Amino acid sequence: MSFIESYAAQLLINLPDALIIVVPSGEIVFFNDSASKQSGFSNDDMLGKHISQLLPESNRRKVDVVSWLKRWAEEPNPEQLRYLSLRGVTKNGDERRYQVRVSKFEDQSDVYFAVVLRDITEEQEQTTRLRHDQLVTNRIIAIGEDAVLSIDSEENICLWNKKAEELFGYTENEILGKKLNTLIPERYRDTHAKDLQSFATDKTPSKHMGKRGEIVGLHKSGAVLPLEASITKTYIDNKQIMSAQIRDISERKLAQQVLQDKESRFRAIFDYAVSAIALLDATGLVLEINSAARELLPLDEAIEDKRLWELAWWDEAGSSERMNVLKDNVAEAIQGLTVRTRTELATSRGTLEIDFSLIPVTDDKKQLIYIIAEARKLIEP
Amino acid sequence: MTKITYVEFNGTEHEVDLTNGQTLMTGAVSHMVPGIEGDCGGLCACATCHVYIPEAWEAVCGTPGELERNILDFAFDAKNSSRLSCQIEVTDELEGLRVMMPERQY
Ligand code: FES
Repeated sequence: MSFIESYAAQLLINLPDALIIVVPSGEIVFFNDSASKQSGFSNDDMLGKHISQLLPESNRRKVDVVSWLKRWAEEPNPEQLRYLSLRGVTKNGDERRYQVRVSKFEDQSDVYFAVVLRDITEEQEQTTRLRHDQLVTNRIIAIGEDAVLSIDSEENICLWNKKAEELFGYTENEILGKKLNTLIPERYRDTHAKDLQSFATDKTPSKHMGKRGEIVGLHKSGAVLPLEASITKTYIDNKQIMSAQIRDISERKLAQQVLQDKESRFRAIFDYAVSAIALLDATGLVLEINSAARELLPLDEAIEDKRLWELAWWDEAGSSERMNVLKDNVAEAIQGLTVRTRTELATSRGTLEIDFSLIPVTDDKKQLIYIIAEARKLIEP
Repeated sequence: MTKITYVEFNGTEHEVDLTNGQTLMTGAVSHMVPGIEGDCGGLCACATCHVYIPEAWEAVCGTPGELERNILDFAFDAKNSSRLSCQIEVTDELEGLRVMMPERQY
């Protein structure tokens, strides 16, 4: 053997890929070190054995390994070799997947097939996991409660989910490839473009927009929608993709308005009432007093964390009788009784004789939630 | 648009509307139907788009060509009703087809 020949032989043994040489019957005549490492079978285990010990037939797949190896050796088909894999087993019974390369060579009249196996088990498992994760993400986006859309670096819309369709009125087919501006009312386009530009170049990967009401969208019908959005930027081949999760906040805005209206109506009645009114919680703790009541208290009197009977009104030099009566009255109101009585208030303007009532307020489950204390000055005859 | 139902091995159904001219494989992949992989992108070279076609639909879907039959050798649990979904084109005649999936593709 020449130096080159012995070097080549050594190289085949030490090749990083598993190399197996078989004769057309499938009998193994060469089994290199990497093949041993990959499969756990030693050279001695495999020499003279049939290749099906390493690449066994399966009763769940029809493939006849030997005839496929032959076929590929005779007419190499790179496409198939790239995408088809063969099932293998290791010495301790583990299943592996191998990508296969086969070539045929002849020595005088003898034919040999050189089979190179690349173990792609982990790769395949990883792909499967990745695909699964992708499926989950895609499904969540598809069925999510928020509209989701993405734009590419040219501001063309490249992702659009069902909620986006509901929100803006465009189907996926209508909107994919269109410019983002389609969804922005004309007079907001400049500001929006500036905002987007500054986000595109700033350091944060994600950002929330619309808390201060600065984003609006344009529905297919021409209606303007107040929106809130979380946007995030990612890169593919150094090109920026921006994705946004968008929520229509018109309902929330409406609800806020309704709430505000209700509150100001309540304020009007409460604060401009002639009677002094205190709103108590279900234990008699003072929650609020109106302006008329405030006027009857010493200027520096704080109402926080006080029960009604702890306010200065019930002060009676040397006696706690009035306070005790009031405590009993509040106890009755807590029981659900409406109390009406005549009493005296020690006010910043001197003692006042008043018509006093405690009215329990319950919710729709008949649970006591508030007590309203009202004092009306007796009109002097 | 042609309505196709893909039935996963576990029974989960995915009803989708496909435009004619695409294949049952691309239809499944673009609608995120799991269980049909289509690794080779429809070259009839990977057998990861294996499905079963109910007998009643055989006539409409046609029979596999030689290459497809050969590649089906690599499919898991191939039966007489096995087809590679990348080799079946969606047409109006497929309206209502139910495509069944094998337990696995690899
Ligand atoms: S997609 Fe590869 S064979 Fe059908």
